[in-house]
Amino acid sequence: MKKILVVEDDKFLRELIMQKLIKEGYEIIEAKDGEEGVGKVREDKPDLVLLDLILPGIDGFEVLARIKSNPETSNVPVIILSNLGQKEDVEKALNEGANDYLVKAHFAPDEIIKKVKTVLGE
Amino acid sequence: MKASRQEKEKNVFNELDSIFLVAHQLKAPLAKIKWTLRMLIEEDLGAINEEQKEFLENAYQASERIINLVNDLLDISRISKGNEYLDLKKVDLLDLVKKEVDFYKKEGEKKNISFIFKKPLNKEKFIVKIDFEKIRIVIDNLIRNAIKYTPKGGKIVISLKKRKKEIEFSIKDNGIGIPQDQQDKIFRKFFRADNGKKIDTTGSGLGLYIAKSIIEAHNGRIWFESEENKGTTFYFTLPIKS
Repeated sequence: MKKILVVEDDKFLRELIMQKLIKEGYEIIEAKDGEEGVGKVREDKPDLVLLDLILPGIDGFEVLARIKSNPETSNVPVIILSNLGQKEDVEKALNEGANDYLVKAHFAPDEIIKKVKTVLGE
Repeated sequence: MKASRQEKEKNVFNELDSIFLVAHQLKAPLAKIKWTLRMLIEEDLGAINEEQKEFLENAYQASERIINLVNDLLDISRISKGNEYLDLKKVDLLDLVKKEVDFYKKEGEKKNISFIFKKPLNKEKFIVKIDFEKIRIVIDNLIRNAIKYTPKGGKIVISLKKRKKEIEFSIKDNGIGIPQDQQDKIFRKFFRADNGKKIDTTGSGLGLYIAKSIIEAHNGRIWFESEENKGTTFYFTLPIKS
């Protein structure tokens, strides 16, 4: 069973997406902020990270940078899930190694699952 | 006391900033509404009956419409902030169009639509003085429309031509086209042709209005040729400052 880490500070959204992921047969790990997220990528070695950008403490870009700069975790694919949608943010995230960038208001959970499956090669 | 021109501009900027900020803030709660409705419809939160599904589907479509309007508000606040104020910089339009085509090729692939970018064979540059972000909004809009209204397996051809005093961009699709009797309304605010509405129920009808606004602020022209069920070609020009 593939493991997915959800890094999202909004409890409601986090629970919604986790519910969907569990229904689709994934094992879920959750993190409520950036620091927790970075720690769990290191410890739990998920198969994919769903990463919000606006987080308390260190932001999503910082989390992405830390994941990608650590040789132990740099291979973990990351899909950004954000409310920010400006082209500068998308380009920045993709340039820094994110596999995809999804604006939450444009992608419902079932559409996110399709993207997850694509990145995981399913 | 009459406000000076500077004060008036400052007030407009502040208003538009507020519109931008509010529109931006709307996206987070809208995402929550959209996700919840969608998961209810998909029965991820428990079984529902057909009647409930129908009501929820209606609500979902409404939320999609709001999201589209918010996106257009964001665009309008960015462009209005500036049809008095364009952040003009020298840009190689060829480069910008290339990047946009690369970005949207993937979207097109989902519908098996082939993208052809006809650039000139020689290495000439297409330098124009433009507001990069705003012209990008125009190109995005035209490409997204072409993809939206072209059926699976279709073809989209984008080309750039350089003339003595202007550069012409065109995008041609072999999609549903625009009915003759509705062509004169295409650039109007909120107008959507009937055949377009059938394909996409949630569009706002502001995209071409915004595009025209931006191109004309740059002293360019925007127009189209279309035949229903055959396809549409949109053109715009940007002046080359000597």
